[in-house]
Amino acid sequence: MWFRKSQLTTKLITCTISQSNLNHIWLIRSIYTICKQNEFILRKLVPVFSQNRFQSKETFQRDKPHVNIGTIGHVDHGKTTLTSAITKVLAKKKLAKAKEYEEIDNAPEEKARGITINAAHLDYQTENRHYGHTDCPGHADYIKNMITGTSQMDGAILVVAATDGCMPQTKEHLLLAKQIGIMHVVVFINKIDAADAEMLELVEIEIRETLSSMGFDGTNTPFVKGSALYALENKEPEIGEKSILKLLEEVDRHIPLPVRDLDKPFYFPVEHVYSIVGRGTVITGKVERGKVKRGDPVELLGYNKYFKTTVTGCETFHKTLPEAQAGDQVGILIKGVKKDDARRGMVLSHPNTVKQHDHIEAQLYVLNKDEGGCAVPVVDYTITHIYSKTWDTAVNIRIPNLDEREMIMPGEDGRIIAKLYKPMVLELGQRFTFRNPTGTLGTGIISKINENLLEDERIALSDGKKGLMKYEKRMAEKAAREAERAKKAAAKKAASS
Amino acid sequence: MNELFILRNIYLSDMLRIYYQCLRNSLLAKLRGNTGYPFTTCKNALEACNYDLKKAEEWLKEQALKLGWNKAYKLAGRKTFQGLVAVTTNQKSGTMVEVNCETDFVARNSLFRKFVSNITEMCFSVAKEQNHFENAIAKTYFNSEEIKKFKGLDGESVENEIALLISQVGEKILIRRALCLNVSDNLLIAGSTHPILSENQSILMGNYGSLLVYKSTTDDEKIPFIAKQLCQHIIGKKPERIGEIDKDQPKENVDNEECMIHQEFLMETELPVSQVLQETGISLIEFARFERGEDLEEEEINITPKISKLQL
Repeated sequence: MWFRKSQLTTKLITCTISQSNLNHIWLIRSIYTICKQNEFILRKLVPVFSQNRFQSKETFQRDKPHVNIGTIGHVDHGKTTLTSAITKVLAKKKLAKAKEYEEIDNAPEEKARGITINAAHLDYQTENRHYGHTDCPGHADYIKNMITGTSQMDGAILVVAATDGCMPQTKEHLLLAKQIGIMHVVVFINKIDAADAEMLELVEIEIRETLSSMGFDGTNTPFVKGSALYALENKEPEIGEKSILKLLEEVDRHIPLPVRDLDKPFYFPVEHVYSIVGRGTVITGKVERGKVKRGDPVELLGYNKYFKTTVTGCETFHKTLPEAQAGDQVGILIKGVKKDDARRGMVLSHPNTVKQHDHIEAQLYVLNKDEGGCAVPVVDYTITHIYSKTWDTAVNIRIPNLDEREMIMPGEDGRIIAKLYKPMVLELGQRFTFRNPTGTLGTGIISKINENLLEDERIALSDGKKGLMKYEKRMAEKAAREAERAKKAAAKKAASS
Repeated sequence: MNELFILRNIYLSDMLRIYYQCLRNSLLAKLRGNTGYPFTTCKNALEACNYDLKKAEEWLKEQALKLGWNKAYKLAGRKTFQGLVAVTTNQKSGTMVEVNCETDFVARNSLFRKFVSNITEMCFSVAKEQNHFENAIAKTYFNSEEIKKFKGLDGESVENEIALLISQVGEKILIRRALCLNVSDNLLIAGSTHPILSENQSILMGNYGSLLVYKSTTDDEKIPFIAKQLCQHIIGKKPERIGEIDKDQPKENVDNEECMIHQEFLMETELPVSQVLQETGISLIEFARFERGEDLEEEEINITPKISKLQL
């Protein structure tokens, strides 16, 4: 022992170190002296000690591919119990943090947040993958999350209780899955502790039939039978814990990995344009997808303009970059395009991968007042401004199925047709926002791209509602005339023959 | 792995198909197929009736009500925010009903919609029979306790019909409120919902509903159409009252306007409702607006479940 505690105190008191710190130093020292005598203890104890002290938060390990899944099913069929059981079983393998039923059921973030309610608040890992887990409480809730982009699902686990079988609303659950683009479902038949073998078989047949009737692959959909409750209570591992592991295995196998952005064709929305004397035009922004290097042929599109060009260099933080990849914030030097031709809102992309459109169908979610919206419904012929990626333009909103809904109320979602004043680069699944001078109207996702507008309609568009109505009337009259002419021609033909 | 997968397919498609066929013909499958009750209930029915299919079906029909009641009792404490608002009108009388359930999956289901349209039809017949006119309007507002005591279309009490539906969809169902209107003299009624979903043409369903009592100076064909648009306006712009031109002053910010006559017409921006009324010769008398699940939380606390438990 090289110091007595009192000696240390007097020595260091002038260094303005607090007494508690001193005690701490003292403690480390004493442990050190004890451990010196036994190297084994030293190796075991010191790391634990330092870990507790310095590592308050775990670092997220990005070593496995990430997949988003969720549970769908009837309220009483044990979705939350299953989720809790999954975390508990995986926690034993140190792949997740065990969550109690109540923790999942009353997650505070679900209530606290406005727009992001019911977003993924759970994560766990299997040997091969990292999962984000979402619960699906309602159809409208989930559609809203999908549109606003707060959570997406790559696959789903359908939970059905063996005691009840398919409910009348199971059809609606599957309809939702279909609407948000889920093609891969794994079925978990729950509560088999309370059912017999015949019942299980019948439930399986019933679900397979329902799946097939809803356009899913009923025959090849994996089924796992078990009891989430038993897994939670550590009873009968055959139908408890093992069924959960089997389920995760099937999810690993059946739900495919989403394509990584890096492997997609190059896509780069233009943020700023500069011209550098002697070198040419530089455009800056963030590479959204794919990669590009010097010499690659690219296209620059937007605002109804089109240029074919070549990349002559990539730079980031004043250093040249051999290859710009998805996620990089870069400046890209292009050949033969003047500074005035390039503009914020255009897109630099791999040749023939994107196109410009001005006539789209979309699923729109109108924000309510609590979410920062305008609190007015969106009606037919509303004129507003559309923002997406780095571009924005004026737009006219039409509501297609007027018989069913004449407007979209705040807090609701609905299908719309948007006519853009200028053609822009856009794709299926791209998100956008509608904004008025007074505030945000809503946000949406492109669900279908229609044929571009004709020149006449584009001119009519600039006259607002009256112009469009006049144009539509003219087109209807023209169509009627043509139909009549065709009818006459057919009659003439019939008469002559 | 791949071979195994193919083998499994063949196995499923051929061997199991035969096996499934046998299973499908089993008593349990038949009973479930015929009645749609949960598997455990069907099983119990078979056991109680010594595996006689016909008897079991009858037994189930008898027990269904009790089952529903038991389930209803179990679910009584739950909250219901989803559901539908249904509206039906002819020119002289109209009714608006709100029925709640727990998830919107059920609200989209055809069983639930059928139930809602039955209840609406029942309330409509009640509305037509009203004759306690006050300023030419007869109106009654029923809360959920009062509606439960009515007799449904097929003679069964509404209470029991709810229990039957609960036993099928397994969620709490609540008929929350109903408004029945009947008018005399030269008054007219219009109604609409948003969105407009309908089982048949006469009953409209949606998340919002509105009824409007109005008077018209002309017999123009367009009048009912304009009245329907005014109903849409009530849903969309949520006015607090109709307002009077002489008394109420329009507010500076049009978006905060509470008087209907000073609001911008929903279908035509920058055109106040008062002008629409003037041009078409319509005058508004009264309106009502239902929003699905509005202010439910406060109410839920006050209404304690009054369903008594029935033993099976």
